[in-house]
Amino acid sequence: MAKFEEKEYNTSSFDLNLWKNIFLLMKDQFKELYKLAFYCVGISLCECAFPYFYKLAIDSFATNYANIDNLKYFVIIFIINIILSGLFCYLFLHQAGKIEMEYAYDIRKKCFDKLMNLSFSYYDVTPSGWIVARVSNDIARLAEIVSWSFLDVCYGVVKMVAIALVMLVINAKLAMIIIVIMPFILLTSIYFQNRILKHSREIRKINSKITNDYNEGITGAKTTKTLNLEHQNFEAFKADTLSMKESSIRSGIITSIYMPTIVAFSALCSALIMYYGGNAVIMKTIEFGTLVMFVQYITEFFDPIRQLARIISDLQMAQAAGERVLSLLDTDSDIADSEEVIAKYGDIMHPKKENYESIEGNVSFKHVKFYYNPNEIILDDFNLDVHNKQTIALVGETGSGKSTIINLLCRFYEPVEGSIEIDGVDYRKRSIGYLHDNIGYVLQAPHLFSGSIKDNILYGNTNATMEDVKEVCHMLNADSFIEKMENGYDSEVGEQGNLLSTGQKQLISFARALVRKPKIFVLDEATSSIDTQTEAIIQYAIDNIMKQHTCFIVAHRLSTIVNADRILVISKGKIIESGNHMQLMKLKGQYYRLYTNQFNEDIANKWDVAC
Amino acid sequence: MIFLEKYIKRYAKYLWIMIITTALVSILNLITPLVFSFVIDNVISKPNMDIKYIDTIYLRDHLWVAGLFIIFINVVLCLCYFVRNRNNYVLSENIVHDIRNDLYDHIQRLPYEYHVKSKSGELIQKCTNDVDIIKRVFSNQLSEMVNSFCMALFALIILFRINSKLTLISMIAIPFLFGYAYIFFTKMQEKFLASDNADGIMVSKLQESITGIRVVKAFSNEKYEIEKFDEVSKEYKNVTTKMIDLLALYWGTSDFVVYFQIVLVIVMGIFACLNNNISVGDLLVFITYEFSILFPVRNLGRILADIGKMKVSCDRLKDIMDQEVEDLESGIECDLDGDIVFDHVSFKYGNNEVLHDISLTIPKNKKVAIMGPTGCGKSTLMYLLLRLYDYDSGKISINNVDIRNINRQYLRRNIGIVLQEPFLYSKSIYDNIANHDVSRYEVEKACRIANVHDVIESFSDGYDTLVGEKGVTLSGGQKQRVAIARCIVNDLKAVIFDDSLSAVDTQTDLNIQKELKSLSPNMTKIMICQRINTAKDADMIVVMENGYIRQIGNHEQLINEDGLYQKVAAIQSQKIEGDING
Repeated sequence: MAKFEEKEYNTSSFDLNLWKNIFLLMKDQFKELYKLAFYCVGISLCECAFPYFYKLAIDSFATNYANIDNLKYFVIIFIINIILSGLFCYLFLHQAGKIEMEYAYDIRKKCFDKLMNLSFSYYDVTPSGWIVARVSNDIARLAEIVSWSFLDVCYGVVKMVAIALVMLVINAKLAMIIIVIMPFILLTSIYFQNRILKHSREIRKINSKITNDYNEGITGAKTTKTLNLEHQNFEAFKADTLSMKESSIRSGIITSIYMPTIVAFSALCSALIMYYGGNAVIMKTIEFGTLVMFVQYITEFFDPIRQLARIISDLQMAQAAGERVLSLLDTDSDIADSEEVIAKYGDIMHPKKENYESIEGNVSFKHVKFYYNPNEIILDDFNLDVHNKQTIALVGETGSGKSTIINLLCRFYEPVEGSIEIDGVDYRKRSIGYLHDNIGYVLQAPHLFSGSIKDNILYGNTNATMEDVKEVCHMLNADSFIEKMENGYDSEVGEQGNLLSTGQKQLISFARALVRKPKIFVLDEATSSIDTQTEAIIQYAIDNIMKQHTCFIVAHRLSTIVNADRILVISKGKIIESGNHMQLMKLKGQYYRLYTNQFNEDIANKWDVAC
Repeated sequence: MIFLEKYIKRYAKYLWIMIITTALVSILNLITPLVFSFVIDNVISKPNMDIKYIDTIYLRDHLWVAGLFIIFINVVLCLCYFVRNRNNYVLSENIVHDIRNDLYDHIQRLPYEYHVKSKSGELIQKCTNDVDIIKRVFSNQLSEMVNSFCMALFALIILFRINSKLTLISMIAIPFLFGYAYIFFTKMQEKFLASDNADGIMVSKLQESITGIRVVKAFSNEKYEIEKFDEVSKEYKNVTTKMIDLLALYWGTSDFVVYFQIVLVIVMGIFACLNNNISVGDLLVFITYEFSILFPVRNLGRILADIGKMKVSCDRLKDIMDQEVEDLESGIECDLDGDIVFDHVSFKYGNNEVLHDISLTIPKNKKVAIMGPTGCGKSTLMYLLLRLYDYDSGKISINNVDIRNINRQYLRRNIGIVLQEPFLYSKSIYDNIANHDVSRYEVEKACRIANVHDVIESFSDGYDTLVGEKGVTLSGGQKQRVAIARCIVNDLKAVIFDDSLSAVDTQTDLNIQKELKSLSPNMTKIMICQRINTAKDADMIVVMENGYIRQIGNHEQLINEDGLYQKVAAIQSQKIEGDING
């Protein structure tokens, strides 16, 4: 049984290699990043200048009448600095937002392209919810944190360096205070960060458990009621929320110690400045304003450090998201056309349809071997020859291999050994696009896209005209219900087609396949029970199709295939019985058993028929 | 917000601690600049002899005392910070913990009907996202708001005492900034919505392409899909970039306003200094405090917007909590070992009467089959028996006790039902079956009866195999059999199979029924079923149609009676023979 397992990621530390890859994904934004760095330096310098203005205001003007004439210059320069700072602030944020959005857009595009290229072996083991979550949430989170956290880090580092430099230039002795204390702050920060990280991981784990609890509690509510499990479930839930509360508070306490510790360091610096700086003012080695400026600088110097706790845990979240996104991007498709084939027939994005050969519709399986897992071989030395316009019905129990045959025919999977030939040519010698262009495929569960009925039918062939659409609908007897609808062919089908009944959806999906004018028709028949009337209409459609195409039908309701040219009973990857309905019924073998057995399962409908 | 009242009351203590410590934090934050100002004016520049209690000359020679004072103030500040932050965590985590529990408990107790109608995805979304929004407000934004308010208020009071004229000047920007922030963030909501919408459209497109990947590939429309997705992805990018741009514009321009106000204060302050209206230290206080006043005002718009979001979340949660729950506690617990009697029972679903005047006696320890076309009311009748729905008129009694007087939990503990589409919890198969602390032996016994023991043993992890997303995918028939085991593992007076054998093959169906009969003779068995074979050997067969009972009898009687049962049996045998003889 194929099982989906998400890799357990090691998130205990920062994975440099991973971050390198995350940044490489940003290649297209490098130029924009330089701009961001430029704005970052700009805004930091502007902000660093402000305390210097206060120093000037105090030393040169507030305590000295003589300079009052120069005040206007002071004001003008100050205002210029303000305008620059406002401008840089705007540009800086604007730039970060632009990078976030472009980066996210880029990765989304890459992921989606990748997804469209991945083969079925990927989709069969990966839940679609997982994929959607990666492409929507993880990418958004990654882009957001990468742009804004780096903005914070850049801004913080540049500002701290700028402040330290300015202080060193103005008064090296006072600046030494910060430089001496800095290593202690770093050590304390590292100590706390590790703890905070550990806790935030734990909290995330419990959080996903709680979400899962809700999921179970809500989707399983009806069952819970009938089994009297309300109390038992609630107790289990309470245990989870309690451990969530306790962990969150424990982690909160650590954060609550970290922040004040940084404030204390900041206060220590302030006190030292007061002492040394104050004495220096008394000794007249520095001016008042310089002291004021230093006090101001100290506060601003510590601001970025206070943010550190948040940034680190954000980055860790981004790392987890990045890891998952990269794992998606690193997945390789195991079905791809060879280079020669692409050169001749083009790839998905640029098909060279002018080189496509016309097709008769003869299909042969030659010594086909197939397995998902080498220990469980599904098909071994499977042979089958089908002439054009023949109808082949595949019958067998779940897991017999009948769906595999269809998947191989459609090249959703490729044979491990042997070959499948279309009109005598190995289908791997032509492109996937070529094959799919000639196959009309109707799924077990009809999947429609939101849009109008017309859009959905045209999905099968974008070059078809409205006449073509009407023609196939007429042939399927689908036009009667479509024309009765208020907007006819322009009626919306709703998300997943849920505005239509199952039978109507099935008919649209027939029309979608037929409008391609395919040579080979593949029908994975619906298992879900539909009402008798719809069943009749669909039977009519199938009979019509069988006459004109090479047809492969995976039959679940055996009544559909009574008219097939050949019925193959598949068991454990082998054809055990072959012939038409009459022949097989007379044989009184497996087919006979299946046919009579199935009868019982159809009974649900018969009650409705009887009434 | 009424929704929060009870939680706020419960944790009012922490709320007060938050307000008090936040106020203390803002005061202490404002003291350091005052100390500097005092030292500059009265100690360093020229010792001021007029100050009482403080020997400024001594201080001038021992400046470290002032430094020590600053450290002292800040140590107190740090303590306040610690108490406040810790308190905020305790407050928000407690509130959220209680909300989570209340929600979960409430949702589980909501009546059956609610769960039939509600969209589970939406409900889960509300329980997680909306609760997180509330948490954020209590852990952060609330104290930020109090802090903003206190800071601005205390700063203005101190400034007024220094120089009222200059204070008025330094307040000029406040109304502008406030108005600007308010208007801006109201505008911003539209952009948020637009971005949210674009995101929604993008995600549904993504979802559609991924769930429909078979169609996409079979029709080789990958290129078309890529282009379509690119379109919506680009649209989302553009809309959101515009939103961020607007934000950038706000912070840029409000930056400008804040600093312009500072220039104004500095220039006016310089003149005030020169005219000896204020001291240099006072000027320093004005400059520092100006930030303390203006930055919170600038932030206020954002905080108000977040609180607005919380209000929406609260309203949504209140909607859930306002739904009436089932009463699981009251009612008697009596002996249920007796006949089940429906006496003229009618039931309306909405305005539609779906059961009309049903009278039926199900004798104890017998096997009864209920048959009929889809929508005939047979399942609903059983839901009534379990009090999953409450009937409108008539009476249902078990062992002569009206079930309306019986405790719901007790009733359901004694009468089991296996639902048509059973839900298995994502735990191990064993944990799914072992309800209410039954033993391993009993679990295996139940599985043997349900003909699923061998299937479970064939899994590599046996009974410990996980079910659901992270474990194995069971087939419909296997699921039904696990559900049957889970139901009959407890001692029951009666068991109801709501078409629970529909996905099981005929042979297994018969096996299960045989096992049940021999192992639990003292149990009433009610089988809602479709197959004549399943019903054939029942002591009593009830045929329903359109909410009425049409026929009651055993197989022999009904097959010879002109009616639905005979008709169905005839159609079946005709068809099977016709097909076989082809």
